[in-house]
Amino acid sequence: MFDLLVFLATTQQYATLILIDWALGISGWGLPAAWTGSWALIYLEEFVFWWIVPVVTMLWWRSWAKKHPDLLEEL
Amino acid sequence: MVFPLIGQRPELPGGTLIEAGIIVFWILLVLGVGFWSRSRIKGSGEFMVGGRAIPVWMLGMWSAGAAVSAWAFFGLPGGIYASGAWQHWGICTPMIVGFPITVLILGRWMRIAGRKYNLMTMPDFLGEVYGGRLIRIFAAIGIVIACVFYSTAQFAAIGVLLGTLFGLPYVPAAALGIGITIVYVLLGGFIAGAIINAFNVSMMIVASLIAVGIGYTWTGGYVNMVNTIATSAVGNAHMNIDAVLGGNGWGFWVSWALLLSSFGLVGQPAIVQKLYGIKKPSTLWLWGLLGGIIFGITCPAYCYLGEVTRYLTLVGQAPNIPAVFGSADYVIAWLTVYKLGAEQPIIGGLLIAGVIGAAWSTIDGFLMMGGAAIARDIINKCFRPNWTDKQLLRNLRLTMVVVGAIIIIETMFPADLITWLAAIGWAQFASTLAPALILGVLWKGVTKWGGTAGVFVGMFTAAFLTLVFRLPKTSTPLGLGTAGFLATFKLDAGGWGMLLGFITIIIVSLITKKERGPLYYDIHKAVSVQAAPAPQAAAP
Repeated sequence: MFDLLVFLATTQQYATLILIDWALGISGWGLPAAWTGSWALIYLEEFVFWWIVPVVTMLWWRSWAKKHPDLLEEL
Repeated sequence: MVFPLIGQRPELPGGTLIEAGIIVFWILLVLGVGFWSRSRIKGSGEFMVGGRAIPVWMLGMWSAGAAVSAWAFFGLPGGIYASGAWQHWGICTPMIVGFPITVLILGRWMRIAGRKYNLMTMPDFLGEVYGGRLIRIFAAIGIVIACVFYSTAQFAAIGVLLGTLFGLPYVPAAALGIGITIVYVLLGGFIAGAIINAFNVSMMIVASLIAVGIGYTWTGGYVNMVNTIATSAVGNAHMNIDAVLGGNGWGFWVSWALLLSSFGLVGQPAIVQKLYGIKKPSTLWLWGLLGGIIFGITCPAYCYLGEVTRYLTLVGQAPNIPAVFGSADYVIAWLTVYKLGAEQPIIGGLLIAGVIGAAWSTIDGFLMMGGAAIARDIINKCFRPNWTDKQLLRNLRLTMVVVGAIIIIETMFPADLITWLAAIGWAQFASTLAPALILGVLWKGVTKWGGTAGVFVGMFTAAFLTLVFRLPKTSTPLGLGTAGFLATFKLDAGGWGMLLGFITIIIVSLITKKERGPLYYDIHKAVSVQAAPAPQAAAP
């Protein structure tokens, strides 16, 4: 449980910066190896929350709105 | 670098004059827009919702700025510096999805019903869905309570920052911040707010990108920063969420990520009431997208500065902030005024403008909302329905001044770290309003008394637990009060409020008469009705 919580706090918010590190050739997570067991799950969660959910859901809503203009008229 | 002795503040660097010049220019710009907007206010419709003709991108930016607020740009970096990133983990990131959730659940109905029912506030919406006066009154009381906590956090941030920059005592500096906001809100209302916050949020985005860039440069990369903190003497305590929260990390996550931050955003009037002002209902998707993305860019950027400053302290490039300044709330003030004031004052000035813009983007909404809760939701809608529009507009402005005065008085007695004042306000909004709003749209089984009881229970539970059990315990900073509360109650105060709000609405609705307001029958057209009541207000 401990390693998961540590990773939620440290990688979730700034995963994009870790990507920049990697692009610059700085490898690793910056954490002791024993703390990094759940990295994949948390890394995924960050990108889902930040970049996937708002974009996918709102583009879907836009497409829905175009198909149902009658439902978007003033009452 | 030589740091002063504990409790002795360093002298201001010369570059603060440049920073102060940038802020004075920013203040004059904001006041100028307020005066310009004054001539466009013809009645309460323009004042409260901008005549329902504001471009969606402006409102998306304003809503994102209101969500970020000085809480994320000022309070949260202090909290992260003091005790680790766990608040960001549970509270901040889940708010990003709150914007699309709001559009998917509530957005369409708020916008397309606005003109027919003359909706301007959240209690308006609840009153038309559920019917009756009591639900409006309970919702308005919850809003006023939350306004005081949340706005106090914003003024406290401005007081600390302007006080440090201009060398003013805390109270006059905070009063200067509220004075500027009151002037432009009273003059230009919703229209001034939309324009000013397009500027404010643009500045917040610029400042955020700068913040990430300089933070990354100072620390030599993210991996190096985390590694330095993790392997230091404070590393374990700083990074172990469960330890900080007394073994209740997941209780915190359920309270905030699952309930208050994500679905609770639906109940944040300062953010969601903006939907009434959108010009075209079909553009709501852009509000959700802009809100989520702008929040996702700006909020974590300043939070990152909390970690960066912690790193700088560990490597001897920054003082121990609480020891020198008396509170971790001074993290951003030290970083912008002292460090950047000496090294890069123009960047420092832009970062300060970003924080003040974040605070204003929230304060103006709260002043309007708190004033409207008293003048419109309680007095006008429940007891003085015959007011003319001119009388309503005058009384809206008057009650906004009253709410501003209450907030100024409370600002003089800050009870906690800024981050917790704002979090308590957010939780109070969410627990009072979100359950009734969500169920009112999604479940056709709701009734007048179910909604009324749910709003009351949510409002009362959050306020009672906070005022009786939580605030007295939070006299010690660094989040120890939160850990103590979670150890006792397992969920945060607002988490219980929201959960019990949902349960109450369902149970009471199942056992009470199927009586509802007129908007309910528009939303749930499939429900058979013999005589749906007519709207209470005609379209303006």
